[in-house]
Order: sequence, then C-alpha cells, then structure tokens
Amino acid sequence: MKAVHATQTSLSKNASEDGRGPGRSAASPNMLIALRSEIFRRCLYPLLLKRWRPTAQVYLSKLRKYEFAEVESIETVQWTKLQALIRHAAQNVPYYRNLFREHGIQPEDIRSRQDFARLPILSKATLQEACNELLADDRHTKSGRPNASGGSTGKPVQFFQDAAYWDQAHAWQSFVESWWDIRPGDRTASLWGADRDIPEQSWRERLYGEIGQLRVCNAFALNAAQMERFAKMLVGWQPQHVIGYASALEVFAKFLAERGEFRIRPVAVKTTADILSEERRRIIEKAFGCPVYNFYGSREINNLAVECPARLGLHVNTLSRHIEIVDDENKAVPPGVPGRIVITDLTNYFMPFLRYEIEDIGSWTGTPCSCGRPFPLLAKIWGRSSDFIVTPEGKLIHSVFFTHLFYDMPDVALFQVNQNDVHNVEVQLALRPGTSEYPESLLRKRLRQAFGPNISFKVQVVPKIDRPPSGKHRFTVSSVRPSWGRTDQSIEQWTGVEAL
Amino acid sequence: MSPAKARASWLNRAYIGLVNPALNGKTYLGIGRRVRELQQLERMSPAQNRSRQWQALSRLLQHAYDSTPFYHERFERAGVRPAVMERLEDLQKIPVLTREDIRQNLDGMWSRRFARESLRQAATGGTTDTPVPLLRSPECLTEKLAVQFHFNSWAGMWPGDRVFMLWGAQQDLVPDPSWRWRFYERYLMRHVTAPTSVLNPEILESYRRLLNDFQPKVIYAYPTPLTIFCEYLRDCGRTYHYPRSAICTAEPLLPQQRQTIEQTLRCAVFEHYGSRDFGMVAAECEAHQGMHLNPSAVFVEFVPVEGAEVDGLHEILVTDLLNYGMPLIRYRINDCAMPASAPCACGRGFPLIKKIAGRTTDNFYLANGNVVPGVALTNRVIQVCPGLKKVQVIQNTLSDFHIRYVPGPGFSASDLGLLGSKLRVFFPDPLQWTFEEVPEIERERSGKTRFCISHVKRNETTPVPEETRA
Repeated sequence: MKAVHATQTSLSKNASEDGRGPGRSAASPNMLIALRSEIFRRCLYPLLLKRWRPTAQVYLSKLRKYEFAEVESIETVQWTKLQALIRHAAQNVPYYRNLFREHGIQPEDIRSRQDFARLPILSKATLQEACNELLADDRHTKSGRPNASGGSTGKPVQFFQDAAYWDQAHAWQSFVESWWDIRPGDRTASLWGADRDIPEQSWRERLYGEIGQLRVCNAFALNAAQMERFAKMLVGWQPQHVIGYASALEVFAKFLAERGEFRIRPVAVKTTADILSEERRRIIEKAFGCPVYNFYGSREINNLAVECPARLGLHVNTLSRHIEIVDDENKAVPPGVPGRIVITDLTNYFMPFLRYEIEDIGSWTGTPCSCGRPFPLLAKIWGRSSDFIVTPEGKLIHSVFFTHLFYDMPDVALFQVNQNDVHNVEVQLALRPGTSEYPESLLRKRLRQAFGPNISFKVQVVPKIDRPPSGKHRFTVSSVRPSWGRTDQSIEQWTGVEAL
Repeated sequence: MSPAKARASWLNRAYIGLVNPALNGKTYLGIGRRVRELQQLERMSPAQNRSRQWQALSRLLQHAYDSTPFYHERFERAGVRPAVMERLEDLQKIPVLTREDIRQNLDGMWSRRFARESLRQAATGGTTDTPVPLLRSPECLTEKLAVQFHFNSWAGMWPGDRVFMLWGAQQDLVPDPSWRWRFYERYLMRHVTAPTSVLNPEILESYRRLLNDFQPKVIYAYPTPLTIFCEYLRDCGRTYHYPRSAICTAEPLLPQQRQTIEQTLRCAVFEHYGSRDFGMVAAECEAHQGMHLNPSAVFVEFVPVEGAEVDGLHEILVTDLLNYGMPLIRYRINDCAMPASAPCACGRGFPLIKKIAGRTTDNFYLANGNVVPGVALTNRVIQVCPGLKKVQVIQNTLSDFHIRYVPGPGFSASDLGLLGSKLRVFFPDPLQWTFEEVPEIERERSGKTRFCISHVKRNETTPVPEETRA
C-alpha cells in the first residue's frame, strides 16, 4: 500500500523565480567556469595574496580572534593602537608636531578617550592645505601609494596610504565577507568606477580581472547596451559576489527586473558609496534574489563600517578605526542623535589622520547586535551634511525623502533640490525625452507638505541636470548648514504616499 | 581558521549523494533533492509558504480521517470535515492531542494505508515524561532528515563535515563501542561523540584533547554541558581548536550561555529546537533573531498562556505534516514559545519564533567536584521506571536530594528502589534521598518545565580537604 505523499510534490522550476527573499544557494555556472574558478580560488589566489598582500593573512587571523570577544577587550586593543598612533604622530609628523607644540600637549597627556576628543578636528580643507606636512618623516621606511579622494566636494584631495594599511584593509574585507558567506577569491562582478579609476587600473587589477575572478562594468556609462552586454556575460559566469555603487546597482537591478530574462543569483551583494535606502535595498534584493549588505567606507579611509546578516546597523571596524560622532561643539552625541562623523585611522602610519572629519552624518544605535559580534553599531549613514534641506522649524529633510516623492512620477527623469538659504528652495526637474508634462499640482502639494509653510519654493523644468565630475548625482544641494547634536532635532521620515 | 563556509563543498555533495546512502541505507536516498526543494521554499514569500502549508495540512487531515480509526472517530465527534475545512477556527474544533491520548489509543492511530510492519518505531524520548511509542512511515524519515540537514546548513554544517558532539542523551550512544564502530563513526561518518553524564576536570581535559585531535568544523551539543566545557577551556590556560560554528539543541539556550560559548569558541552559535516526536522543528539562521519554523514540516499553533510572567508567551500545538504513518494532529508538546512580531532580517519566508521556554534543567554539583548536568538524567532515568509518570529532582544541599514524582497506573514501591539505583550510577557518594508523591508537576510561570532543580551554588562545591573530612 502506498501513502498519499504530501510533500513529495515536486516544486515547479519557477518556484523561486519571484525572486523575493534571499536564499543561500547561488546559481552555478557551467562546469568549466566552476572548475576554473575553483582552481583559482584554491591554488592561485593564496599565492597572489602572499605576493601582493603579504601580511593580510596575519591580520585576518587576528580579526578572527576578536570576532566574538567582549566589547571591553576590543576597546582595549583599539585604545592601545590609538596611543601608539598618537605617539608616532607627535614624533614623526610635522603637522602634529607643530599642533602639539602650539597647544602645549605631550602625547603622554592623552590618557583617556575624553582627552583625545579634545584634539582639534582635521577638516578636508586643512588636509588640502597641509598635505605635505601630514606625511610622516620616517615614510621612507614604508612604501606609500598615492590616492586621491573623489572630487564630489570640489577639488580632489591627495593623500598616501602604505602597504600595511592596504593589507589590513584587505584582511577586514575578507573578514566581513565571510560573515556573508563569501569566500576569498570568489567570482566577483563589480559595477564600479569613478571616471578616473577605470583607465588607471593597476596591472595587478587588470591581471586579476584577466585570470577571471573580477569583471568590472563602468558604473558611469550605464546605458542599455552596456548593461545588456554585462548581464549576458554574468548569466553565464554567475558571480558569487556582486559589488558596486548603490545607485548604479539600482539602475542595473531595475534593468534586470524589466528584462526578466537574465537570471543572476549571487550569494551576496555589497553596496558602497551611495546611500542605501530601504527602497533601493528591496529593488536590488529582488533582482538578485540574495541579501544586500551596506558597506561604509571612503577613499581617504576605507572600511569604516559594514552590515552583518542581522542587518540591525553597521558594525564599526573598531580594531583599526576610531570613530566618533560629535555635535557642533565637538562633543560626543548620545545614541540615536545624528551628528558629524569623525574618524581616526589607526593603521596608516605613512600619513596619519587624527580626528578627520569625513563630512558624513550618522548616529549610533547604542544596542548590541543579535549576531553576537562585539563591534558597535552605527544606525545609519546619512551622507553629507549638505544633503539635508533645513526648514526654519529645525526639521531636516534628507535627499532620500525626496526620491520617494517622485517614485510614482515616471516622467520625471531626474531632479535636484537646491537650497540657497533657510527660506528659499529651488527644485529642478529634467523630464524624460519626449514628454513635457508632469503632475505639477500633485508635486506642489507634496513639496508644500514636506517643506512646511515657511519655505517658498520654485519648481523649474530644465533640459538637463549635469552630473558632477565624480558621477554621483546629488538629489539635494543645500548651502544651509544644520546644527548637529540637538536631541530635539528630527529627520523627516517617509511615511508613504497616503500621508501626503 | 578559515572563514565559515555555509555552502556545500564537493565532499559534502559526495556524502549526501553517495556515502550516506551507501553506508546508512535507503533512508538517505534522495535527501539532496529534498534539501534543494527546501532551499527553494525558503526563498518564497511567507504568504506562498502559508498557502502551501495549508494545502499540506488539509491533505494530512483528509488522510487521517480516511485511514485511521482514532482520528475518524475524533473528527466525527468534533464535527470536522477535512474536505470542507477552510479556516483556522475549523481546525481548532479538533481536540488537542496529549501523550495520554496516544498511550491509550496506540492501536487506533496508525494509518491503515500502511502495513503495520512497514512502520518504524521511533526512539522517543520524553524528557519529563514517560515515553510513548510513536510509529513513522519510512518515507517520512527521509524527509525529516532532509529538514534537519537543511536547518544544519544554515549553520554551515553539511553531511561529511567533521562534527564534535557533546551529547547528553545516553540512549543515542553505543554503550561499549567496538573498534569497528569507532572507526566507522570517526573516519567515515566523521563525527565523534563525548558523553556528558558526568563531567569533571579529567573528563573535560580528555575532551579538550579530543577536540584538538579531531579539529571539528562544527560542535553539536546540549547547551549546559557545552557551557561547562567552554568554561573549562577558557580557564584551563591551554590551547584548543576553534570550530566554525556551534549548534545547541535539546534545551533552551540562555543568553549568558550563548555569550560564554561565542567568546570561548570564537564562533557563531545557532540554537535548534526539536523534539523526539517530531524531529527538528525550528532553527536559527545567520541573523540570529530567533528561530525559523519549517512550514513544510510542521504546522504550529500558538495558544496564549494566561498569567505568564512574560508577555506574548504561547503554548505551542504541533501538527506533523510529514508523518503519514501515524498522524499527530494538534499535539501538545508541552513547550512554550514567543512568536516574533517582526520578520527576520535574513528575508527567509519561514515564520519566526522569538524564543522557546521549554524544559530547563539545572546542573548538580557534588561534594567531590563532579558536575552532573541535569539533561544527562532526563532520558536515562525516567525511561527505565515504567511505573512513574513524571519525576522532578531537587537538590537542596550538596548531599540532600528530594524527588517529587507522579505515580503512573502500574506503580509499586519497587519502582522507587529502581529509580534510586539508577540515580546512584550518577551519584556514587552516599547521598540522602527523600521521595514525595505529588498529583502533578506544574509548569513554572515563566513557561518552563523544570526537571532538575539545584539550590546549590557553584562556589559551594570546592572539594572538602581530606583532613577536615576525617
């Protein structure tokens, strides 16, 4: 006798095609690619790593040691490293030598984090001016590599990082990627490229790409033809890891969803550089059918914070970065209150930055993560201070909020909100080619609701909105500086179209 | 230590497809396919999973109604027609199934669509209660294994990975293994087992050496013995191997225990919840925000518990959607859980429960420095005394034990003697035992059932020096 079998019913092949929630199982490419990449991962990658990042493996095992340590123990390590860096800066770096002499401080005087927090903040402007004075005297003992920050704020800033910095950066990246089940040397597809990066790829990167573990698509030339070419290639190649700018990945994800024929199933997607709004996250997760993790770093100082699978916030890289969030008086803000992010890089001895203001806004969650890792959590990175529109009542409206206003207006191709002073805002719209209409009264109603009664705004249709040289489009540009650290300050939350 | 690897390697695939079926028989055939199906299910939306689950439930009810005398009569009496069942309220008309029901209606519960001899008797436990024999169809064993493999894969454990098991349940262990069995277990099945009925520094040291020799990828253990082991590892000052993940099961994992294990073994800890009657029911994913139920394996109802210490505590009633040989419908498993309000960050379409308040056991600390984890007793002591229905062991001082018991139908005074002699295996020193007959052992207000209660704190247990003893 045979029983009725409830669960033996085979699932249809398209069961997971809806692409909702992430699954751990990546799609596999054909045998040859799988074999080649397995050989690369197991044989070639360790050799290349040994050659190019000789100490990365050592740093990685140190990181693993602290993966589930107590909070106090990683803070002790951090403090020891910080003290060593302060001593080095006071001894070998002309800028800090002078600074310490001017203020009459000895490195031994800095006995606690409170003492350290009284040091002046290093701004981007100072970095530009004092670039040469920030280089350590003993730099001839290290091999520094020049790097330049994105020109999104104006002219690019040049700075240097040494081999130890890069080794540790690599170790941290492998470390966090293992949280997401990405192995070192996995096939990686990347939507990348500030314009100047692409031609300047080093021969190592080009070789690495040639051997077959990295495929790059220029994020700033994302037209349909190029995306199609890239998507077609990825379908056969099935990368395990997809990385890229959040905005570029969103464009690519929308393209994939629209076409529907390209099935790319990586294990994890890493987004950087742009703000990852919940909307964006959903779109990308849906298109790739895997979890999306936010990675916070900048060119000057990479690897600041990163999400774990619990995604309750971004884990700070406590072991090699010291992150403070301060208000306008340079005092630390309590958890939950947004403030300016100030960073000290504990690994760069070539050109040390003490208390560098990265010009991003963030806040602490103040709670431990469910994953059990001791690294403290940043709640959210809000991007630049000038991304916020400030209303006379002290309300802050972030650019992500405005993107919601335009979600159901497909004819608006691009917009930009410019604030010149507290009472005047200008909204520029670029319409999709071939259209000349948009729901004007609806938009005005929504904007009035968002801005409140005390702001007068103009809506203007322009033929084209220029992208800045870095390629990152800025939805809001405000010249009004909000004051940070006020606990009563609120960031406007999106509550859905109905609310408007 | 290389990073955690949750994806199956070629070796794991070989174990799933070839080694396991070849060595362990037919039950292991087709598990790989089934696990892949489960991986597809977890990607579906919660709504899709719910509707599939409801279909499976209706099928099971129809099957039970058609082929088992017990359920036929029960449904008739409750006025339930599986064919026209549409809402949860209809299901709730069916009375709750208790252990007592099963014990009394054993013969009416197995499905007549199966030959009686084709059904397998499950090694059921019963941690606080006397066991009942459950029957299972051979097909459902495969499916239950697949569910378990799938849950394990979230913690990076696949067949073929080296597993170190710190195991409390004596009946799962081979009492006096031959060298052939040891070879099979260690080199073919690639797991080693460390029994935890008695733990003292010498035994723990030998386990540390075993851990270092074997270099397991995963530790699979009862949480309390594992915590004791971790405390030993932490304080012994010698080196030890770090696994990539630790899976705790059989008892609720306390936050303090989780922290100790994470910090000592430097790996993520995953809690699994299962019972001997159902196999694995729920497991934690890598987001660690609670445990996911597998909706294709069980249908779980939550009944609010009144007067509970914590808000949102529910008693759970489980319906086994896999076992057609002897359907268990709305079975009271005697555990409490908190359903999660928010979905899990991992995005799986499986429902989430926040925590299980199940049976908890304390450790017994003895005068000679030995530690006897309460879990070691649960399966061992109760099952051998057929006359006792429920037992609770309370340690008042180092040598003073109090036992509360609920007598069963065939109770006689010799049962107490038998119980005493079984307990003396664990507690060799002269101890004072007192027995008390009680009508019922109540669940605590926190929702926990406590089988072993110890009022002795750890620091009182420093061994007494010989001179003073004399």
